[in-house]
Amino acid sequence: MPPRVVEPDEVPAIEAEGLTCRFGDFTAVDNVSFRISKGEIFGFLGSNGCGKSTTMKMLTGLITPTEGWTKLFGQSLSGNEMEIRQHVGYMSQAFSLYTELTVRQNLELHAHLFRIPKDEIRARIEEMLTSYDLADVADMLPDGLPLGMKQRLQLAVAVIHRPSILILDEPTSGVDPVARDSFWRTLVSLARDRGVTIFISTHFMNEAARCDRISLMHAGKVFAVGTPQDLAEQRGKATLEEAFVSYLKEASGIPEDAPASQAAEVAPPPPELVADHARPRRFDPRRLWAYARRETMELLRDPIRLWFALLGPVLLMITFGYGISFDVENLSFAAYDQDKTPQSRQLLEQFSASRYFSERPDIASSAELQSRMKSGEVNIAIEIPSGYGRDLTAGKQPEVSVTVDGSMPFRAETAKGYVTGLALGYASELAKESATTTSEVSIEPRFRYNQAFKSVNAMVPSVIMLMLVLIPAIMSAIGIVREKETGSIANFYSTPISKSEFLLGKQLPYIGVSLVSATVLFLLALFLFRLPMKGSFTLFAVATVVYLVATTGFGQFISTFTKSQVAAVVATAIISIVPAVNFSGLIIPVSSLTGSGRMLGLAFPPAWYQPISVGAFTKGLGWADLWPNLLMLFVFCGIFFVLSLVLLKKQDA
Amino acid sequence: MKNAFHWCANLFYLFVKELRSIKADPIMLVLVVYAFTLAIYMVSTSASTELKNLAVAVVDEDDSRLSRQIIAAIQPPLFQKPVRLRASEVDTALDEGRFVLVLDIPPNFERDILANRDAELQLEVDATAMAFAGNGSGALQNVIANEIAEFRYGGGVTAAMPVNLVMRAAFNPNLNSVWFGSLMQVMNNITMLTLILSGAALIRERERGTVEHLLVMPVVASQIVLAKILANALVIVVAATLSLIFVVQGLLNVPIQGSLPLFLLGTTIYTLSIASMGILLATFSTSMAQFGLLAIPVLIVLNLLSGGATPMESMPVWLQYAMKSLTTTPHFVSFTQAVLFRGGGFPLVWQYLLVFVGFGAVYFALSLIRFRSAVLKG
Repeated sequence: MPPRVVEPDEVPAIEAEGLTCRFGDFTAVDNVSFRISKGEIFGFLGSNGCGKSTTMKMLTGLITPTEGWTKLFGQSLSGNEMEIRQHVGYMSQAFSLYTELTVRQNLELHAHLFRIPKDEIRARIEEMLTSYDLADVADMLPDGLPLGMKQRLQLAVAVIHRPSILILDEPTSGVDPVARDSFWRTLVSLARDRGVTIFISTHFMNEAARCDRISLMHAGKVFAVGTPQDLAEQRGKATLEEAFVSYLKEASGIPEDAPASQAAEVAPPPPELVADHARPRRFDPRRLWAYARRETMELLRDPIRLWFALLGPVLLMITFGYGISFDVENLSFAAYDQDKTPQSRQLLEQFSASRYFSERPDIASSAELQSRMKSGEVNIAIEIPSGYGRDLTAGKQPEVSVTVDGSMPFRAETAKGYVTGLALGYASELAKESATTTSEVSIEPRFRYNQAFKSVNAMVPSVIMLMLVLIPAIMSAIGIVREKETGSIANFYSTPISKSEFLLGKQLPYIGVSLVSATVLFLLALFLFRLPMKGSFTLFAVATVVYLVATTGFGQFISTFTKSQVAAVVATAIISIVPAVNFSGLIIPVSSLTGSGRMLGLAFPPAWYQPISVGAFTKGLGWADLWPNLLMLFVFCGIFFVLSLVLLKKQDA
Repeated sequence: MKNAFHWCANLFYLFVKELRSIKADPIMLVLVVYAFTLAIYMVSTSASTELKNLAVAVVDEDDSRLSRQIIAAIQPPLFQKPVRLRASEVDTALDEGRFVLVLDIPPNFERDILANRDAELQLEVDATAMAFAGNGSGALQNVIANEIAEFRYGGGVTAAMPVNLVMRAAFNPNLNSVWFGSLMQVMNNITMLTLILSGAALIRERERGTVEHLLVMPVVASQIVLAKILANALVIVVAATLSLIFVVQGLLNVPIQGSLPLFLLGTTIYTLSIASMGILLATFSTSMAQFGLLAIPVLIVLNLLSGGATPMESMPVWLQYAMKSLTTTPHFVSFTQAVLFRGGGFPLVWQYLLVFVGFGAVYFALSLIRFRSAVLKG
């Protein structure tokens, strides 16, 4: 390694003074200062979590220091941030390039964003591809590349704009020694030949030894800075490693001769997972339980998931209960009265007196009628022709035309019903005046199960149906797909746990959480919405448990063919919402459904659970009426479990 | 000038990158296609609140010419062919949800009418089927009144009326609910997919650490956010347009009354505001799963409480105010109905466009404020 030529009086490339970073009570970096001159390779050596990454993020401006300041080339970051960033290259700990872009596209994107002149870009990319040995894989996606190559790509991306400062956060972790060595040779050449200042963090001693200077860091503090040789000599040790351990002991207050094995506290895997290697196929409830317990712990530590599981249904039920209503009221009407006689006014009074209608100013012309209907301001327009009063008295059946805004068919249908009712009332009023007597035929509608005819009573039991499919299914789908995404599914692949133990273990916690929210929904229905429980509570309780097993099972089924959490969430939501909202009696009564809609509804558990929920709350039904529905819910539990069992793979695909 | 150029250039490169990312997620694309084709077709053809195919039963205790005449008048498409029940079977049939309406014609009904005595018909309504119970019983009462008038005077109810009431429905003469349902479904999908796609785009970068990478480059947060908003909104607007032309107009034969370009203009601005909302939600979550869990309740509330499912006027006033002042969607529903259903033109709806812009600006500003702290914390 060629020696570095130091120029006197130069402005330090990187300078930091009293850098401190606190997250709440935790001090991640405590009063760190350093000066790094141009062309120097400066190393940060320390264990994981000692504050190296945080320090680097403060240098790049990603984190604002709680106290202290940094300068790059004698300038502070604030104010001329964009200008400075042009001269900095950064490489973070994990691979952080776009896996959906090819190697070349990644380079292109960075070249553009660093404002490399258009005519140079192509040449620059070729140069990077050759000097970092990436030419053969230029049009491949990074995901398929070996780690060493990915890391070269990251370095290439970090230097494509020829920065004068490179900040590298543990760039070589996980890379084999040969690749690491060649990586370091590149770094040295950048520093010596191009004068690039390199700030690098590492936890490898042999890498630290190659730096011009290093600083030793522990628990947020820097406790020694110097050349590797000096540091070793100061401690009277032969190697840097021994010196580091000695510094560390001093910093942590451990006597020099104690064994250095703090890190040896790696917990052995739980015995449940290790046992039974010989007969891996036998069902073992202990392994199931171990998975269930771990899943529960993770769930309890995740506030957003808990929020969703417990508060989400409550929030939604309240909004649904109050917000969804088939009660059509406040229909706005306006009259286009061309007659203006007492008779026409009498007709209009029928409308103004009704509680379903609210009156708007009169209409003066047919053009106005058109435009006010179009704007939606008027829902119903009543047109009374001139001569109405005269014709009525003469018994000539004058024509009255009523235009209803048909853009929302349900509302229009109801409005037409109201208008017909008003017309009949008007007719009998006129009949009374003219004193002709005919007998009354009354048709008495009796609103069963919901005498007050309020939407709430009809909706709430169905909303429970919707909530208890949507949320449990999503939760359990995420439970498995999360592991696929984070890679912890490897535990499942490598331990002797069987598929059924895994599935059931992952399902249990979600059944539990869903039961809690089901209980809350039940109480809301009873006490907030004041629904009666007319039917069998035990049936409702048992059916709800079985329904939850089925819906969480459905989520697991979805998880077997989705790879990302987002896909799992979206797929579960769409696949469960459509049948639950449209084909399970939430809005349209099932008896009116035909063909594919009916079949689609019946192919999912909600259509079977809804009659139980409605039956138990409002209809006063029990076991004798609803056992077939319960049976079907059991069948769904079985179907989803078997499907998941078949589709779940016990090894990486 | 040069800065503005650089700013736009960065935005453009990030925008292209976003489009490539969307292209690389096949499952997401399949979902977009599914939502804008099959889901729209199925939802709008199978399920509707249009009175149709109502299951009716009749208990005929009179068995007279009049009672048979009434029963014969209960006909498709409004009603299914009525099923005759014995009085003892009514309770079970209603309990099982087999019928929404059960009409009971009492003994001696015809004789009472002929003798000009008051008579009463019983109509049992399953009021747990709210969507059909009210309108259905109204429609059935009409049918019955008509038949009785016909029986008495031989001219139907209109002949007996002092006025000739002509009722017509504007904009959708037959009150065909597919017209309504399909367009509402397109709207729901626009909201849902825009929110999910844009939020997911930010979370994906957070999870992979790429956003950190962007932030050490000469790129500012507003470019990153705006690129995502633009790219995802573009994809959704294109998908929605194709869906309107090929699925709604083509396959479902729904006539669109208003101007499609005006609708698309509004939709574009609206999707930008919803995409901003998606980003804002995403700043509150660190992983895709968390985002999904936040977004789903929000989406359901937006879909059901924006006036597309239940008319705004039917909700409690506090809820109307809350929805209209916190979210763009109720305004978009009104806009869509004004343009697509009622054929409203630009002079009628330009205020909506301003509202969309306003909401978009607020969401965008909030997400920028949260962006750095939220993104870098995780």
